[in-house]
Amino acid sequence: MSQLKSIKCTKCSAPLELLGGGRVKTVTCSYCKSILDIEDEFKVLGNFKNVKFDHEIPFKIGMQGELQGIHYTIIGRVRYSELHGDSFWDDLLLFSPLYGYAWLTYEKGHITYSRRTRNFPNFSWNEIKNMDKFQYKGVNFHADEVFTSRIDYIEGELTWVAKKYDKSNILELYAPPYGLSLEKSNHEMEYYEMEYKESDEVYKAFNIPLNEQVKHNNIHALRAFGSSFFHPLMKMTLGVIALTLLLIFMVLQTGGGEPVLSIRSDNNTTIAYPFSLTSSKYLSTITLKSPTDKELDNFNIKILEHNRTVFAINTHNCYISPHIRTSTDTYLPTWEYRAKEVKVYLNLEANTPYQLQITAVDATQLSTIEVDIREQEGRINYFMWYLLALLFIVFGYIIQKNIYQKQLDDEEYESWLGVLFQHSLPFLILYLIIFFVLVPFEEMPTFTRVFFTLLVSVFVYNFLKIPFNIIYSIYQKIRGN
Amino acid sequence: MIYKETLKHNCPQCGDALARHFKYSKLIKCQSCGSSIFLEDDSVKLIGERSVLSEEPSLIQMHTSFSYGGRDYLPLGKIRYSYGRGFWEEWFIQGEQNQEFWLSIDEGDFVLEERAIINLPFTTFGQVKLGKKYNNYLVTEKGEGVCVGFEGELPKSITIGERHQYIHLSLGYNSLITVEFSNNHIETFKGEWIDPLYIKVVTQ
Repeated sequence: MSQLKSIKCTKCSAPLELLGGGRVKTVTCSYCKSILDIEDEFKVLGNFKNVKFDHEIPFKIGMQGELQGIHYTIIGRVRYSELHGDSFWDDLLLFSPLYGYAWLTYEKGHITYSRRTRNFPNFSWNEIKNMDKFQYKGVNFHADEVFTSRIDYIEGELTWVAKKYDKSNILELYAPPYGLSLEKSNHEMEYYEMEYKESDEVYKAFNIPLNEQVKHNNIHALRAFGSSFFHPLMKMTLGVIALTLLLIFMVLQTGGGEPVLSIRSDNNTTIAYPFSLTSSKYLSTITLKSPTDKELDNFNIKILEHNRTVFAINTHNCYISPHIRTSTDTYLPTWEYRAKEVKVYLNLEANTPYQLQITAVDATQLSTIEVDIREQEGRINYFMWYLLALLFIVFGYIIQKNIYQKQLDDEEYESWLGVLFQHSLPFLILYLIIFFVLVPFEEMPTFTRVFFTLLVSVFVYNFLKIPFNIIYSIYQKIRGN
Repeated sequence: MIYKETLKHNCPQCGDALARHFKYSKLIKCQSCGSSIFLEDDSVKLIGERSVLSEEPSLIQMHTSFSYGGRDYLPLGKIRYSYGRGFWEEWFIQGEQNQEFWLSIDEGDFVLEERAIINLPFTTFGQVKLGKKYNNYLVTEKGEGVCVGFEGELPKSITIGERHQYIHLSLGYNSLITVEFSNNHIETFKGEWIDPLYIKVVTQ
């Protein structure tokens, strides 16, 4: 099978070296570029000497390397171009005495590896060219358009008689990083399994010198989306988001708050009302509300423990005793002037006798106040900021992925999953941000809040798409695509 | 455990004891002198002298079990056919239940088959056209080779120089039927293309 014979070109007498196996049918003289028929006494079948184009690639005939545990020798090369397009690529024929033939396809620094498979139904070309998807080995592959390739140049050995401008019809199906190539030959359909290979890995396998390695600077249909920064971060982020949501759910379930005291007072009344908590779990809250924006400023509120003030707040300052504080500061900023509602989180102890005192600063100024004290309130706003940061990572990932997929082909990947990722998920994130973080409709009843947030989200989402589209078009211009 | 039966007859060439690994082997090779010996009902017949095959790299080694698809196979013999510049090999393989299998290896293309009785819509090699469909069978390959040697033991007699014609009929996917024409005799085999990446040598 792997016999090495030295023979001479029948056109120019240059020595020829045969590296392939028994199925090799033609060899191209590396000197005069004549195609010689191995099965017919090396008769000249054609010539590529006058073909002029840039055909230098990092891989050369005779190079050896190991791919997927198989030791291969590059024995042939075919330069193809798309018949009605501007793309071109090089197919390198690999030979292993143990595993037979395979292909490396090189296209502007991108590399795919292909092996023939027969694990297909006996399709006719008519069935294939109308195919839009196909399930193979449990994976859904999406079809690209049928195209016609044309041979522009060949080198080395090939297992069929290839001539200049020979054409073949091909349908490729993608499920990155895997693909299928369905090709029509003379007597039967040929099917190939393809796999995208990172070029560094292949260059290393074939010992390509660093200065000859070509790095790709564009996208490839078989290259699965994977940003160096966002992709690994995204995997971790999704796990952390799931854990965070679980924690929020648990806090909401068990820390929804229990009423302790609800009282109403006015400028003519001084209240000293005893209360105590049943549990120290989570935090306790004190919420102060007034009907108009000046009334709250007319009250002093205190909480005493055994006649010792542990919390005091009015329009000028806020004091909090060190042993019930939730912050490291003893004096905290108070409410803004003319506020109508204030909510303070405290770390009050259970089963301790407290007293709530409400006094008016100016007993002549008509004012009322409502005070609500609740215990066992979970404070999820910390989680929300944390969640927001994580969602920004997800958002960044989705934007990057969208840009990548738009570059591939606007018509590809329009599956329901693609649509979900492209639209529903960003919209959901935006909705949650508005609902939980920006809270513009907090005072509304829950159902109304849900509805209004939805309306605003639809508007904002469509508005936000405008700058993203502009950024994307600028990005395209910069990349020259 | 490899089956081994010592025969009551000795090698007619060198006189050494003869043994076979497959109960129904018809052709064996003397381990001492390499002579090919045809086993008839109650006698042995020398049909040729040494048939030496050149060493070629192969995933399959004689008398070394390999596994594929969760089953073990033991190669007992092989026939090499030449088709001009290259060749392919037909390996005679023993299955786990002592069944007879044939593994065809042609430069990385592997086909594992068993004998099968199949009603064919043609009777001669010349009738069949490449690319044509006969009932559900699509003719995907048609070729011929010449036996250039054999090794080990085989369940049939073969002679060097014997011409061998074959047709591949595809039923879709990996499924395959091979029709062999030799000495005015048709044999049919049914099996599948297998991926050599999944062949593993069984370590004893």
